[in-house]
Amino acid sequence: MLRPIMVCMLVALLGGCGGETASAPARPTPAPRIAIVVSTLNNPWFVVLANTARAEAQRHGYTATIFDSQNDPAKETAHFENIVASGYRAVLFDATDAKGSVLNATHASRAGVPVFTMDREIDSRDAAVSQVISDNYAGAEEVGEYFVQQVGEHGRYVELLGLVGDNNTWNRSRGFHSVVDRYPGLHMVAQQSADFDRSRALDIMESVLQAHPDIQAVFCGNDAMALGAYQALLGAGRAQDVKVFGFDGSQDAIRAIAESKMSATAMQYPQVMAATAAEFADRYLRGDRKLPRRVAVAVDLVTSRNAASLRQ
Amino acid sequence: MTYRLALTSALVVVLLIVFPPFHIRRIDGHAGGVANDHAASADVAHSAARFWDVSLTTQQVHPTDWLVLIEALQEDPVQGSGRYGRRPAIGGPWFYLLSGEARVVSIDARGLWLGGGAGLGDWRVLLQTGPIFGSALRDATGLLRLEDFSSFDFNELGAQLNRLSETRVGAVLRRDARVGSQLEFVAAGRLDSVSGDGHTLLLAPIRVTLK
Repeated sequence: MLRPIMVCMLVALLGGCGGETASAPARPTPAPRIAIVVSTLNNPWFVVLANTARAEAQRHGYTATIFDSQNDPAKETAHFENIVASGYRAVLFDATDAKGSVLNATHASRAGVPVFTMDREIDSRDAAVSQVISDNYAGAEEVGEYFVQQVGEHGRYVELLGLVGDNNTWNRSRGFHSVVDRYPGLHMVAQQSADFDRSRALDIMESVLQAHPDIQAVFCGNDAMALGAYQALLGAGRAQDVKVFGFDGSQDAIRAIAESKMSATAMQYPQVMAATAAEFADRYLRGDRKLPRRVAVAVDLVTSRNAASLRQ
Repeated sequence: MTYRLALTSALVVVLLIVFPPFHIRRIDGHAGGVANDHAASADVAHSAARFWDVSLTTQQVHPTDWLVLIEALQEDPVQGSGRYGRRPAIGGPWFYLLSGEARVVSIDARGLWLGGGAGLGDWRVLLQTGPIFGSALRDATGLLRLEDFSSFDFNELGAQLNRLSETRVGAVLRRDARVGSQLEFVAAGRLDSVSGDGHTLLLAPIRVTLK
């Protein structure tokens, strides 16, 4: 006799026992939010990275907001303070500085907001749950091998580096040199940073050409700089006899390779990195704690052999 | 008044010593280049030597017969790679741990070109003795993982293993191997992505016995 009453009481406790209890109209639960912090949106490559991350986060059921650090660590720090205070569930993070950005990631992690880096690595084993990075070293190694094939085992060349605080800059440089430095007849006559910036690369290349008019090649840490260097070579009347090598696989560079203006680049896959980081964040938020701490995404060599097929 | 001035001056001097307004530092960095403080750690060479001695050159690794791999790749490159290879990077190249017997059919600056009979088809296989690039030695066994290292250290580990192969195995082959030599080998392999023909296999030697 008591059993139906007890069952009814239990059900009532859990949410109602039939009847016509007045309840407020069900409000849709707002989707959890994910923040996407990117180093800059002033470069189409990072726009693709950010937009893909947002689309993938939305596909997994999150609301996503993009924060642009404008290559400024102080702005990045302000974004992280805002993100932590605003109740975001996770951060998909493209850092401004491998060392300097660790503090921001640590701050978020300690506040219970897990961080997933994409593209740019930070120098920490535990500030981020997972780091999805391009295999820059392997890509630059392949560019280096092709460089030796094209330039030969003797010659003089210039290297334009990206941002010196970015690990990608040095992994590309070291991968390239791991090959080229094995040929003692290849001499680097200048190595300068142009901050991944096309117009800076143009200016620097103009100066370098005045000091070293006899170079045979230039290796650049990204395609924007390679195209800036090409512009300087064009202005100096050297575009035909100085080979230009880049990195990124931008459509402008692929077009330049197909038109024999550049020799090669290494194609990165920002969409894959962003999608992987978003997937990892979703898995983590659903309880998966077996994510890899670091994972590499492949980079492919682009030369005149395959440039035409990669043009969009 | 003079006493107060002297006391103030002394205080200023003490403060300047304790809190110097600037520091004089030596500027380092290689000539003509940009200083790079993003270096690999010093013990990578030791880790590479240990991995070579303890894991690669002992019986802890189980290579596939090279002709079995090539036959599988000829039939179906995707299935063959998936069955016999390892691919640590998302969308990246496959790496293979291989062994076998072969005959040296030609020698050039890059290494020994191997013949293995009709089973090779139009495949070309180079046992490298010149500079070795890539990460086949690091990645073919699956025993080393990026997540256990910084990217700098992991990349340097691959480079150090390549150097060990060149100095410990390649040097002997350069000295002793001849066209027509028969050999047994264990090696880490990858397809030659720079040639891009899809059927040139580059082998980084681990153990080689000339017969």
